[in-house]
Amino acid sequence: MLSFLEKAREKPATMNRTMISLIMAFLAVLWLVFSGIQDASLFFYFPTEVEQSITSDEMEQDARIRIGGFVQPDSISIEDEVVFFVLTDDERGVVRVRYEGILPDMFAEGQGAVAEGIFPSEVDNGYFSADEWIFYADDIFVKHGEEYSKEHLDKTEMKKRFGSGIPSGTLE
Amino acid sequence: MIASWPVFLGRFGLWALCAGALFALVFSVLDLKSKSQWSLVAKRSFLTSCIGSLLTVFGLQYALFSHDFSIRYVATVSSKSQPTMYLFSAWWGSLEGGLLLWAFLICLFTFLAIYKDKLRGSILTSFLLLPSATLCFFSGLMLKFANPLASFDDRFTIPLDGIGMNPLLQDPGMAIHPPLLYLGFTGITIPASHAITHLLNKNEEWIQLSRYWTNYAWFFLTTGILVGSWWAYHELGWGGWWFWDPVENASLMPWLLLTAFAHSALAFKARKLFNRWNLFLVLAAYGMTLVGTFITRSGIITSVHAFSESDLGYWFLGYITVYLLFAFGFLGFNWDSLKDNSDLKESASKENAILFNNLLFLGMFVAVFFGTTWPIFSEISTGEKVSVGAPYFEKTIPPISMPALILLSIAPWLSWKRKTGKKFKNYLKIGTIGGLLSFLFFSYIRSSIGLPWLDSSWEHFLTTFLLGFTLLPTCKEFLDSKKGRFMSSYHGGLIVHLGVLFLAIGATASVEHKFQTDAILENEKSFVLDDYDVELTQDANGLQITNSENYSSFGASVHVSSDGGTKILYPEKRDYGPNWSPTTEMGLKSNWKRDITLSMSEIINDSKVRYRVTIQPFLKFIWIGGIISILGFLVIIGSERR
Repeated sequence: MLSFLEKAREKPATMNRTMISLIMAFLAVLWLVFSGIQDASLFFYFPTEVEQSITSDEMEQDARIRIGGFVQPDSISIEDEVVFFVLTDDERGVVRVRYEGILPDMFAEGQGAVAEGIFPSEVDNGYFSADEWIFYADDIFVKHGEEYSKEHLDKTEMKKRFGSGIPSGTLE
Repeated sequence: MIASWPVFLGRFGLWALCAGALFALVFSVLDLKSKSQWSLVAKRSFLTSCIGSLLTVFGLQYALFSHDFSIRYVATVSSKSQPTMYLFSAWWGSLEGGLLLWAFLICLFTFLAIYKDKLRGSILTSFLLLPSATLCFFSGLMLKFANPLASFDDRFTIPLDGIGMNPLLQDPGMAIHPPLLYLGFTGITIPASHAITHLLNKNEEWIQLSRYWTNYAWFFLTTGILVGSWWAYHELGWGGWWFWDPVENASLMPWLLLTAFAHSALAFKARKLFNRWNLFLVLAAYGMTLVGTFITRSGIITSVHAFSESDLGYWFLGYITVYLLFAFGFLGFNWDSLKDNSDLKESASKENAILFNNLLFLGMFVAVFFGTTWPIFSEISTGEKVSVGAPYFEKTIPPISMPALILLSIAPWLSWKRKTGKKFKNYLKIGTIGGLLSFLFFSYIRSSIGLPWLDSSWEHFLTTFLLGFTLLPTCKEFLDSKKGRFMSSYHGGLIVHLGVLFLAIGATASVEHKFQTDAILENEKSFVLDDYDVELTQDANGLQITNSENYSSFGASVHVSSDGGTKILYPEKRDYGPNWSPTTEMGLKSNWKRDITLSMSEIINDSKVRYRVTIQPFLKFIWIGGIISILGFLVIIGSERR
């Protein structure tokens, strides 16, 4: 198995040069990947975890994070181009989200959605204050896949329609 | 309730599919182990499996077309009002049917390969190992977790009508996108199986056979990815065409490895180089089709917890592990006996270019793989969930893909083994002239559509240069080539390369120069984007409400004046009733210079609507480049058939 290492030692100088440049290039790729991951990854929470970290005082304000869950039925309200809704999850954690902008097409009640934004430390608009922990989202994603037809309805609604027979493969 | 006879037949077929595959696997192993003649039995078991898959497909289609809502899957993906075409495509509308399509296509490809490549004896049985193991796995999954023909447990819950397919997916592009991807994914099984015949039986022909089938897999996978991107751009309506979503990345990862293989296999064909590396790539590409399906289907990206809630994920993980152990175990045990010509003395040769091509493709693969799976590793190692989005990919991919594009423009003119000659220098000279011309040309065009002359990203500058740099020598190569030898696979490759450069111009321009703004339009008042020389005017009629077969539409006519012409666009919101969220149909004014899209974001009142306006220069180059590449593939496929 290790004979290829011995062979490499016997190879002429050009071969070694090729090998060295290959290894250098590959190290450069690895460096690129890991530095990129450090810079560009965001912390991701479920609503229940958000609630937990707020009660235990661990949630950082003004830090960019993502929160993923289901849009709670009957929670969407739109006031002057600002959308308010509630993200929830299986364990019934709740986060109120404020979003200004265009909602994606597949955004709907009962649908899985991910919100990206911050919990601002300073809010002054006369309606609520920073200690009410409203999540200011500036980007909303919905799940992308071939399973829209299933994810559209949440589990409780599925149960109403299908009894116990929830089709397998339903995510979350 | 008694199921109808086709459904009954279909359920029987599913068992036949599973049993046939199991027998094919067992007898293949026996044949290889004992050197006795079990190959015919293995082949017939496999044929049984094929017939089983046909019966299952027939049963499912019958249930879909006869609206048999006692079948749970039918009630989930179809409804009475669904148009006929989408009743058929409901087959792959969700997980259960997707698995069935996968199994069916593996049967189809393997059947074709056995007869086309005239496989027999121990080559046949070693070839059958991978497809029959895969079929066992998929049919097992269907029987245990995701039976497409399962009926409701309780007959009182049978609905009168099904939920139906998401209206957003009721689109020809979205109907053919999944089967194209599946064709690409399952097509990779064949080159991987040929690789296994080489590992087990020293089948020296493996690489020619693999190359032949790789062309098809590559063609389908590429077309599938492009169609998906086209659909996202035209139907999701917000001007994006690639989102670096895990689902997209899952199709990109095997594609990157397959593309690397298609190139390094050339080096083997010409110079018997990289034998082990070729085997590694093709086996890894097949592995990635499983990994990709696993990460998108198990929910593990969202959270390790979501994954552990369903057993499906564990089964996938188990099968992937078994596959990797066997495939790379075979490779490891045979490592020393696999002959490799490792003479790479001439550094400016085609084989070295291919070596670096492979390195770059592997680099892109590593970048995409880590970006996609990092959330899993992070959660397992630190317990912290993270999310990796487009910024990561936009940072890591260009430094790797741009050198690959430079290599792509030079490598075809290099020679095998020898130093470069006069022709190469000549081509570089012509190319430099062409490159400067196209660089100036695109700069001028950008300035004519309201963008600054010499202000863009280095990636975009580079791609505009490289197009001319490659185009002129390619034209000369075509003019110089003798009659009759015009459409060789080499020429096909040159066409594909040109397509890739067109696509790269569109992609880099859309990353750098995408402009998006909101515009509130009122009847007969014009809205002018001065910098871009675009004028928008909403029609005097304002908002129109029309009712169609299965939706009501809210739309308005908007006159868009730009580039010396006016087009009336009709952006709409479509309401498909209480079950579905409304969809946005964008209005598109497109020429080769730029795409202007208009999507309704908010209806304020009858005469006042807010739109999202997106302007993207050279966006059409993405589709033009894609079509050129596909035509190039067809030339390659056509020439290699002969």
